Amino acid sequence: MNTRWLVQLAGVTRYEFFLVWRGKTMLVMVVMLLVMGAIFWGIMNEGVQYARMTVGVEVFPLEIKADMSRTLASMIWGPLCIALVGVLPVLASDMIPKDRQSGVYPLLESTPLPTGVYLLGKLFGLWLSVLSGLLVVMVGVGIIFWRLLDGFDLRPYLEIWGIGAVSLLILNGGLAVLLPCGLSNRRAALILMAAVMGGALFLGGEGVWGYLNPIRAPIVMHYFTGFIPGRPELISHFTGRDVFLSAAAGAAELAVFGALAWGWLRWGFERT
Amino acid sequence: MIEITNLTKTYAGKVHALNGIELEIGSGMFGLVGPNGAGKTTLMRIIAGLLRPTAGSVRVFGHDLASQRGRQEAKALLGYLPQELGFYPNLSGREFLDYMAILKGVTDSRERKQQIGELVELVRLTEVADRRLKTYSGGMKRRIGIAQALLGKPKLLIVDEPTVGLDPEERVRFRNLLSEMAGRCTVILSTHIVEDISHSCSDLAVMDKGRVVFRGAPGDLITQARGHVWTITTKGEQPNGSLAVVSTLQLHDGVSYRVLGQPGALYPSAQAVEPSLEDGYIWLMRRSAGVMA
Repeated sequence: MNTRWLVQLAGVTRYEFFLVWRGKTMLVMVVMLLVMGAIFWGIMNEGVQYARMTVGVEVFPLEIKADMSRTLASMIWGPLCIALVGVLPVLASDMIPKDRQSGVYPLLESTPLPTGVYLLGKLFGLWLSVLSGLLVVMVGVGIIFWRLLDGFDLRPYLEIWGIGAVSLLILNGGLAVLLPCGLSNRRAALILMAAVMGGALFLGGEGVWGYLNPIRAPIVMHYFTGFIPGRPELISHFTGRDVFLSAAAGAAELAVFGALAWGWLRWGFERT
Repeated sequence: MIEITNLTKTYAGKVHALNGIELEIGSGMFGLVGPNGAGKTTLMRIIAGLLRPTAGSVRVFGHDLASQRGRQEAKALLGYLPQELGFYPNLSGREFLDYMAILKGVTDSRERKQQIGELVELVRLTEVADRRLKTYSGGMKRRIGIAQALLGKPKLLIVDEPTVGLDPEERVRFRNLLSEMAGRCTVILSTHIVEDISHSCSDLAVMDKGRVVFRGAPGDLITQARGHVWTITTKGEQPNGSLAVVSTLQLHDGVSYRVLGQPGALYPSAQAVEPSLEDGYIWLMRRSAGVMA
């Protein structure tokens, strides 16, 4: 990459970051997740006080604290999955179509901006903006949980965010940018992504298809049910290996769609 | 230098937008005029590297637009103001210009800042440059569009209907600005407002139905209408159908018409007048349509 491409990439990323944050949907998503954290505090507070009385100590032993930490971490995972599997693909679907619909695309095309840099800038801009929003929620909800238990085991909590949420963000956010890139209408893009995600719900989450399905069942289920201790009937059969395989398959899928999107946009000129 | 050879563009559905265009455009200000649907915007979009011609070739400062590399290199020299301009409503004017400057390859942030400062001053938007674009009026949006076209000190400036939406004072300012730019780079100005051409271009082409029907200096176009422009005053009745009415002026005792054609014996009081560029243009278009001999 030469200097001009790097500056262009940084520029597209920066301004897409601004545009996502100024679009309000992102703000609503972050506030909703923080509110969910507060609601969980309200629900759990009484139980924690009761448990304190039952155990008869003010500060829980470490192993109980670890169990409760995993329970809390898996509670926030539910709303997080809805945000990253349900809302994000729709939120991100118009990132390229909006350029066409608003008439900005001819201006962008008139500059020496390579197609690859444009696509990467769009992806990085989305990932960075959502990541910053998730960071706010992670810290906010983390503080709520910390106060609830007077300190808790951070490892499952950080794993849920660092591996689970980041994987879903990169894979599903990326897919939502790349899949509708040939459309010139925001509504059509939104419908396409809603149809893809809705259709994927009915296609199952087992086997190879389970790894490729944008619902990402191995990741979602591993953290959703697999983290609740003492409830063997809820323990997911998806292991850490499945999470890795699902992320790897999703990354390969993203690379394929990235190449197709790049080809479609690059040879757009030939189709004119 | 822009060299256009045998350029043809046919859209799906067999719509012939351009038909064997041959043009050489040198430095300075070049005017492209013609009615709606003449093919001006298609030609501009091809020169800007946004549209693939069906046949023929375009070279911009030696770069062949048929190749991806040629287009990329030509785009690095280009400033483009499309007819229909789009914006990101949630960016401020200054941010939008910064974004465009980055895409145009102005990599140094201090240089970008300086260029943006100068351009917002030039288009008189300094005071509102930090406001979101969604709060801008139509004229302000047009001016920010003009500013973005001038970013990166382009060698070729393509402006498609640039004065639409500007008030008269702004139009004059913008024409002067384009004339000033023409001293430093090649400017292609496409418009259907003949007045814009007459005040700023020394070289022009008139397009109609995808063909160049005139190429030369504005004076040559005016000369074509000499002896065919008249004023006729009537009590109110319209001049004979064979005459083209260019303008109408209500007087207290009748109506004065500026017409193109030969009034002959029907209007013995008709007075020959000096043609303007607009007269020359209308004369040419009517002749091209076979209405006048």
